[in-house]
Amino acid sequence: MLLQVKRILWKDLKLEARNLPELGGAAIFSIAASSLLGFSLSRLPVEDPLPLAGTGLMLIALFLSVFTSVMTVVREEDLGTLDGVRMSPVGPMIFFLAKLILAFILLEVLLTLSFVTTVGLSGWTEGAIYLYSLVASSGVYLSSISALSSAISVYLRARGVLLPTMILVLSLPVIQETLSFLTSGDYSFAVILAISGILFSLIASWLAGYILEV
Amino acid sequence: MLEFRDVWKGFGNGYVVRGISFSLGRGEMVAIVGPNGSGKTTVLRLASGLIAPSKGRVLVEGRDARTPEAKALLGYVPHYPPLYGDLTVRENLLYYAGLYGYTDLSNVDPVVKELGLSAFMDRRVAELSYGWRKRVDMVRALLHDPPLLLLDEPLSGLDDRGREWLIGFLDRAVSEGKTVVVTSPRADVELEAKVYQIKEGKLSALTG
Repeated sequence: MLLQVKRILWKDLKLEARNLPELGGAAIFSIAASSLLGFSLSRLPVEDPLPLAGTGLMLIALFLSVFTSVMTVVREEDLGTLDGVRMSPVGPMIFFLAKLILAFILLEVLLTLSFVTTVGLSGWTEGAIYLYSLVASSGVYLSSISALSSAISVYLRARGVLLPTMILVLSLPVIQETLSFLTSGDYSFAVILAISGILFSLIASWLAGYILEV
Repeated sequence: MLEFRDVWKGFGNGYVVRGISFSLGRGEMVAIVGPNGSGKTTVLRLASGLIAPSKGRVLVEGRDARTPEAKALLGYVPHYPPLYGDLTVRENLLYYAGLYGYTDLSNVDPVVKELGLSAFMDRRVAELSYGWRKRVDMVRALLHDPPLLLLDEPLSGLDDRGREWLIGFLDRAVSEGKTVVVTSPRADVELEAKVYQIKEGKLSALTG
């Protein structure tokens, strides 16, 4: 099972590396959006930049989840290769798990890029590492939402509108939770976020087993 | 090897496949002929486990066609090859081989040579014509040496050499005990096969 996950993931990483306009576009979005955030943090008279930086980064994370969603399950449908996997003995859960890990890797790389740009441009450092731990942990949940929405959107016609909407609605609980932890400074919240993200990933994989079996 | 038991399949309004029943043993070849939209591809997609019947059962070696065990026994060549344009032919084949638990292409080395694909192994699939992609897809379907082959209009898009090879290959496969189902839009199939006609979702024997 792990070997099959590895095979699918390795193939996807190769495809991403060869599809630079898409990955590059997502990276440019990351940098551009966080530049705006960094600029605001350095110019606006805010006493504690943490809430503003956190809210801004979570909004960027939401957009990035939409990008990673397009790069995962639904990509196979668009390429006409989804049937290639579905006609093989690889179960839909294994396939989905590989896509979820791909979404997680891409999301974490892009989020890190955003974080570094924001901190680099604003010069703000106090509480920055704590914020990064929260944003990075929420990436576990967001990548599950991203991959799950991608799997559902295989069957949607108006996916251009419905996919981002679905991600926004499903992400609301974790975004609100993350924002409410922003000022606490307690690293155990980051651990809780990561654990709840892993648990949700398991539920999403189970659900995807049924969704992709249709 | 393959059995359809009163299979019906509907999409939205009405049924595309209406109460089809047949069974094929090892070493049999069947051609399903019919015009575009008659339900040929749907029959193959049902047989490959890609879609579930609305009513009835599709069995491969007695197992539901949707199970991983049944899927491991079949090789399906759809009309549009499910290949990754940005990967090379070798990378595509190694990827699919991996899904069946194989780590190399030794199983299909002879087929790759016979089809003249050796020179294309390190070319990206996006650079190949439809006919060559179809050959690559044929190799993909044979990676795990399946006893049941399902081929959707396999002769379309192939040049004379490709057609000649495929006809010879399928005859050999049948003589080795493999079961083969092909579809064709033309009634004059160039294969030594039992011919069924599909019309308005119903199947009837034409020859054999």
